[in-house]
Amino acid sequence: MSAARPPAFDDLLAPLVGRGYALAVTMLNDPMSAEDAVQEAAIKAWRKLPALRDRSAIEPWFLSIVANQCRSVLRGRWWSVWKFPELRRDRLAQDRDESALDLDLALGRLSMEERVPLLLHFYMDMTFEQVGRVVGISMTAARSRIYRTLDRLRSDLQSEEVLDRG
Amino acid sequence: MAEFETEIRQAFERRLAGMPARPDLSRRIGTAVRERNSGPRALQVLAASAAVLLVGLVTFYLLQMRHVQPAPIVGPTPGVPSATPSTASPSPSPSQPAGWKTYTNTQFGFSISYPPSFVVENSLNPGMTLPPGWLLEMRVVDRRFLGKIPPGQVEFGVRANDAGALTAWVQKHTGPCGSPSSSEYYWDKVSNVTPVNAAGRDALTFDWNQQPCGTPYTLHLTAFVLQTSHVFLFSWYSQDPAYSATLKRIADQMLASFSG
Repeated sequence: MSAARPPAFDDLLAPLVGRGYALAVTMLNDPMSAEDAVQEAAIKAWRKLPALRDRSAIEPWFLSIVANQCRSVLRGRWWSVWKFPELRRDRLAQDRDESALDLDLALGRLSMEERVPLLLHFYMDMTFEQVGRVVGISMTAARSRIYRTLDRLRSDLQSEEVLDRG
Repeated sequence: MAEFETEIRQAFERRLAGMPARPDLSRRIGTAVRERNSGPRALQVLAASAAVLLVGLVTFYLLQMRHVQPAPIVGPTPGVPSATPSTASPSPSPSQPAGWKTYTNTQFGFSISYPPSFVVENSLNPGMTLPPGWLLEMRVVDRRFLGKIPPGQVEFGVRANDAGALTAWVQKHTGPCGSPSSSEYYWDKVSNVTPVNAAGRDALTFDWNQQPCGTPYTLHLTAFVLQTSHVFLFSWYSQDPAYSATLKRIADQMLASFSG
């Protein structure tokens, strides 16, 4: 009887660090805080790993831990997160052409609850079910939130076009 | 539809490219995971027990101290007298500089004046909501800086008075940023806590250096009780030394004009 090799970080969690960081930086808007959040989430995930029965679901499981970690960081950073729309606006405005900038600004105007499902679905190619698992809502709720947000983005961009022409 | 989705993907790519992780992030996290999880189980249990015992002892000590000290002192200045809650005392003829505008809030029953070249607006980003205990958050900024990063601004708001005396209130809401209870913590550490008379009532002024919480500013705050159940919180900050003196003068005049 051969003893099974214990799971290695490099095999299981390391491949997910990049995507965890993408989620964290989308939620926190700050690379340093995002790196810290992913590190804390990885430590928690590693401790909870024995409880994860379905290893094929490790990605949405890990990302949900990252999302929870980011939420608690956000609660602590109430001041800068709420009160500095200008900081993000200036950062976004660098090196963008006009139409791309409109979409980037419209994305920036979304609430975190709206933006994160878009990232998971359109950037990370997650299914509605996986998005729901990460965000902590049902698959149906994830799907309707994504479509609702798409509609909002479109109307936001159209109203900007009207303003530009005016 | 598909084209728009592609544009959204590209927008996220641009957004993430502007905030890249350091290249060795995965390796560093791997090291941290191994270090933080390598301690023997028994040692971890022992450490946890010691921590619980320590918290118990500190709590006991603090409770004992509370019986000895009549009022809690906040900040590094020992011996400052405690500010007492003010119950709707009438303001002594608030002064309003000529030509200034007045912001009036009927919900909380106060008014405050501000320079005509400034605007008063809700300071929260769209889509954000106030957590429990936060009742009003406004900012007052020179209209020249709207849509830009201002060199400084004045802020005022109303919070629930859930502690009675101001010193206790400030202390109750002091705690580390990023902790699970951090929505209750308004500042992580305050300094220069001083009882003053502001707008004709007992108040506390104090400073909050936000550096540890990720924002490179120091806020200068004044708090006083408003109609017993609320605390009026007034603050200003400026990272520009040239603008700082101007804004301080404006903030002082605004505070002197408070009526409620």
